[in-house]
Amino acid sequence: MAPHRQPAKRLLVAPVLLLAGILAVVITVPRVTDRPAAPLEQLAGLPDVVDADDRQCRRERNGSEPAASPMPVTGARVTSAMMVACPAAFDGRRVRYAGELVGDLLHRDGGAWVLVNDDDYALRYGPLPAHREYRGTNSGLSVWLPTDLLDDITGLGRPNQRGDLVVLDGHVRRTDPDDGGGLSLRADTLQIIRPAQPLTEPLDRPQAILAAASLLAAGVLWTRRERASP
Amino acid sequence: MLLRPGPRDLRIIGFYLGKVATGLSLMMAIPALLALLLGEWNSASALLAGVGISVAFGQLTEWRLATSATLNWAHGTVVVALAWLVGSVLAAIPLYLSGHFADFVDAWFESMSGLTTSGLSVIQDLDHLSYSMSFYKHLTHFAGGQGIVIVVLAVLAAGGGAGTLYVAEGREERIVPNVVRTARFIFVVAAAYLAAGTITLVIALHAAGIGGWRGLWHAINLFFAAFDTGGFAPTSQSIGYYHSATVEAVIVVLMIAGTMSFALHYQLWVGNTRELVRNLEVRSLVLTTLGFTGAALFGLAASGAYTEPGALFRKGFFTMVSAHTGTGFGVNSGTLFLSDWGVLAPASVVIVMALGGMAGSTAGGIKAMRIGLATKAVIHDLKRVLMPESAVVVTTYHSGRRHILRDHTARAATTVLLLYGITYLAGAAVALIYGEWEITEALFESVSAAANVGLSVGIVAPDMPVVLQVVYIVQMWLGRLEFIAAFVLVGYVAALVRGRT
Repeated sequence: MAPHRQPAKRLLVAPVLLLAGILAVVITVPRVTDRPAAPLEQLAGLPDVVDADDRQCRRERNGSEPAASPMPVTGARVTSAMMVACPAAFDGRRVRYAGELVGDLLHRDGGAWVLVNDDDYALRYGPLPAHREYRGTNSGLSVWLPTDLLDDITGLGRPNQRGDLVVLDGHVRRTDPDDGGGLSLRADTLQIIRPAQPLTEPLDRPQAILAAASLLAAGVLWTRRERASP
Repeated sequence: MLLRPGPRDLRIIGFYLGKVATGLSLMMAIPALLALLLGEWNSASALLAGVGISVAFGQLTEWRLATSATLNWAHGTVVVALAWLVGSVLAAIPLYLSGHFADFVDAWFESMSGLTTSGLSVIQDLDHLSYSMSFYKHLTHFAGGQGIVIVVLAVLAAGGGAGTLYVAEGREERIVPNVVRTARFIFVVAAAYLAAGTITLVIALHAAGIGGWRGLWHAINLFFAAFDTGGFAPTSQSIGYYHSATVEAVIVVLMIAGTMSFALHYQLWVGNTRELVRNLEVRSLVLTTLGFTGAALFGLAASGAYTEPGALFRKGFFTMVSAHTGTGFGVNSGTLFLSDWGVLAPASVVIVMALGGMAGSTAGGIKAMRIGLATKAVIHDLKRVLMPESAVVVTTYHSGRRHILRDHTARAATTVLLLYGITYLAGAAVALIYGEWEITEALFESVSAAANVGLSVGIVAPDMPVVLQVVYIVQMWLGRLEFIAAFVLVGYVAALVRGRT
């Protein structure tokens, strides 16, 4: 190779190596952080999920009518995933549902809308980023709570708080006319099985050190670049 | 014959790439301040690490590769193509450190989705994400939507090479003759909409039940995602979370404003309202919106999903506007597209996602201008066949002023249209290889990624195959660059390997 090709090669390889090195450090930092493996929580009062035969959506992909069996409240609960996968089969049915109250209470005449998540962060492991048990995206259902059920609520799930964990009974509406056609649960009973808890996250020291070191490096390089500028 | 780029070329590219990296740090610094104010210490350290690394990378390259040479077209195009790749990797650092992503590819997917204003998301436990990190996610839409290059122009005044970078980013029109003034105009428009849109959203959200500072926080995030046709939302339920027709109506207006080209905004800004009637893109967009929304509503009615006409219209219209503008907000779970919407309605959603919004806006997809030009070209050819041989057929279209449709213009439009079609099918084919999804699902997700929309029927998830995830990342990148810059980058790499000195 001609000698004048060497700088071009260096110019190509050096930034790639630099970026790769940076990424290697970044990826290493969470691995040395002391985030505990989350224990599986045993929530007293959390009903089991209904039997698979009952929850199975029998609607064919070609759009034929659903033929799900009746699903009375038997003490077991249904999940939001079941209802979203098979909304017609649940339309008008009375069900039991459990999850974490999340976000805001959207007050309207006669009650409030609230999001109730029933994913693993809500019911099994607790919110991220306190642990390393990655269980997918959130899943939940819009729930209408009449005014008389709102008084018991102690808190809603937010960045700094785990919301009330509740068990609800109510009727499913496949296309709720009071919600512009949304899939919803009209609850008429609410039982809190665990009140809201504040979330405290300890300072992530390795991450803080990375931030300080990178800011220091940025300052030094900025100064060097400024001095080198004509 | 390919000419091999030399050290001087690589210096220029690296130098400007460094400027973009430094510019990106501002996008992380603003939410870092918010994190410090709110006492979200771990989010603050994650964002500050991103700031430090981006500035360090940028300053090192600027220092070591300092040059006073100006960019030529090829340099500028390669800088832009690389800026989106390197920029998205740097932007992924705070997201990865947030603890809401299982691996770095997930975080990279999220940052590419944010910067390209796609809105597809693989974040885990979004509903407990810190306020500052959520704000950062939405801010990526704003930075990417206004253009990383535009951000650099406005903040760091890149100087002589600005025009080349601007054109290479797929923004063909300079609204005013000077490119830096064009960039500033875009920011003036965005700032005006930011003020008006946020205030309106605060009022609408207050009426919906979210008041105080949380209302303001939701409003700003929603504004970024709506006006930049992004699609991220502060909660996992997207717009369905708010249960408010008023909020949905405000967002529809913002999505439409976002999908309008900045050239059209300029015409309206200077009082030329007739442009709304004459502009080819407006006509094309209105026709496809009306046609396919009609089809979707008919399909929804036939599926029996909605018995109430009001509910049918509200869900159907919002979803179609969200898809056509390239935003990707949802008012229902994506699974319902498959389980409850029948066939015609989801098919209409896929078609309008593929068509996209206006050229020169933040929207993705084929673009209304190209659809209009391709249609006019077909009509032009038909006329030529049907009319006497001696007849001279002239086809014109209006875009700012009257243009004659030339062969090369029509060819360019149909070429990009074809490239989008191939990209849509290629992404779907990769998903089909896994054997887990049907063609309808695979096509839906592929079109959503390549057209930078963000609606999903569930393939995009944290546990999706990593190869497919990378394919979608490439699709989002290609869709944002509209292919040319990406092809030039590939050609540049080929020239480095096989070109002659």
